[in-house]
Amino acid sequence: MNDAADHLLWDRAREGDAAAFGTLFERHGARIYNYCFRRTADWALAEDLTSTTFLVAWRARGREPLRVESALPLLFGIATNVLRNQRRSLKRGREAFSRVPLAQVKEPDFAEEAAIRLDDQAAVRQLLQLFSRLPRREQDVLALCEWSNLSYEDTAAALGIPIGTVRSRLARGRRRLRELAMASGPEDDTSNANALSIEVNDR
Amino acid sequence: MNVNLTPPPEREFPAARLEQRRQQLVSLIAAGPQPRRPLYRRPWPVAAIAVASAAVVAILLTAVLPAGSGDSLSSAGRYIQPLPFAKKSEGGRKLATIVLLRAARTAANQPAATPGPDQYIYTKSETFYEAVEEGPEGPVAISFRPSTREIWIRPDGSGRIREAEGHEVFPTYADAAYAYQHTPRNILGAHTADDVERPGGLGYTDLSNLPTDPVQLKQQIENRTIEGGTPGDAETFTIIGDLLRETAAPPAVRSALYTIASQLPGVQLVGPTHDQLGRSGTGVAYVSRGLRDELIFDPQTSGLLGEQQSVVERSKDNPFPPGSVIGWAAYLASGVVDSDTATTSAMP
Repeated sequence: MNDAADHLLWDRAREGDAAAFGTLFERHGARIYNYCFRRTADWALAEDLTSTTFLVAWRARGREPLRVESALPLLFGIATNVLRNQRRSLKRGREAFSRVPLAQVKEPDFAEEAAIRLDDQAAVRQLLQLFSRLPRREQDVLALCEWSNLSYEDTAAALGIPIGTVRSRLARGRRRLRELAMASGPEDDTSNANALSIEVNDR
Repeated sequence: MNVNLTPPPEREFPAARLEQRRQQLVSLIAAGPQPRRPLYRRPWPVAAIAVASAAVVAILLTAVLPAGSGDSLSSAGRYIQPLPFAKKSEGGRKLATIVLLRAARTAANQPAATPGPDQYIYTKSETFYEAVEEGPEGPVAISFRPSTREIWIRPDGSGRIREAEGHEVFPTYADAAYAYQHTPRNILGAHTADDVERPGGLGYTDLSNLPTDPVQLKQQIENRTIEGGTPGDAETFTIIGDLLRETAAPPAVRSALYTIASQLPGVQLVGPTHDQLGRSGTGVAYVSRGLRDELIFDPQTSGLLGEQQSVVERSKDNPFPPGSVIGWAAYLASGVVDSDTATTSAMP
């Protein structure tokens, strides 16, 4: 079963096969996890959001046939919704999962790995300061295409928009991001943020 | 210029945790019962009903009573309440259009409240929302949760949410019994959550640059570029609500939103009505999938006073008599403030 294509696993999940769905989680969890991390700069939160994304996908399985062979566009689309509606969803998602405690596992503790992940958080947080100034729709396209390396087709499928729209949003988003980066000037982070705030305020 | 526009490389999902999470997910979905509401939609709330017979009550009380804890099922009787009823619609689209166009004119003449980059939009509301535990054959148990919600959102999407949740309210003893048996004690009952969010954490939608021309704005909403969603007028009505709620849209944009609502073929007039706190306002509504979503606004200011969702057709998911209010929100205050501890008592 572990080698079965996504759409076969999805069909089994639609018939109620929880284990098949678990295989999809195993296969794609890391991609969604990294996507969520890059949108939130928070590894722990990204883990919660990944679980929530798959839970939402499970509930959507009845009405969402897999239109392509891979489940990724669908999962990225749901993750994008979950991220967008975080303030409404997260608490409830946590409540759902809190009823099923995590199995106790002994996690090897690599100090070096932990330090790298902390650095990642700082880097992404800084990036998001700029990024969050973009319109949400451009953020979505940039994050999917450039940060998660989805094709234009898959991004279009994930967001439910035409490919032409993906291209134009991507172009606009890149340009705006460059402009924002330029406007932030060569100073330190704090004054960067201030410069951006002023720039945004002027619009 | 030293801002790095490339995120760090992707990392592994730590193997042990991936397996742990997979097991958790599989056991959650295999177990069946779980909240039915989409996790990612607005907090909607409330209600319930159903009269349990004394015999059923007695059986449940003896059979399912959890072993001694302070707030046990035996004390749950006080949390079992009937649902309020919503006023019926009194007009179709034509009347709704007239009222909404008037609201649009009023909205246009209100003062703007635009947050600066370091300011917050603050909104305080009382809400009551429904939580459904779903089994393979439909809902297993329903509960409702009252909550006082305060939110501070800064234009960078950072901010804070403080929610004081009251004790669950149950439509029947069976629902109460289920909750007491299955819900961890730290979730059951009143508790307060206070979360500070970093930039981007709150999904701020910048409404200051939206077109003020209703035709253009309608197009953007229908293309789902401002907010995603399924096609159709029901979703458009929902998005209009989203853009009015907990936001600081410029008066001209708010005006355009009311104009767009006035043009939806399915929109209905509820007319003079009250929110669940008894404050009077004007209601308009949209019915879809057996439920009626109602926006209640103040006719003097066109501010969003409240919302409620009620049953139009009794269903397996909502086994309540038509008219039962299963969710509501009442907006108590909103405005621009300088910090995430500052509040305002200004009315929306």
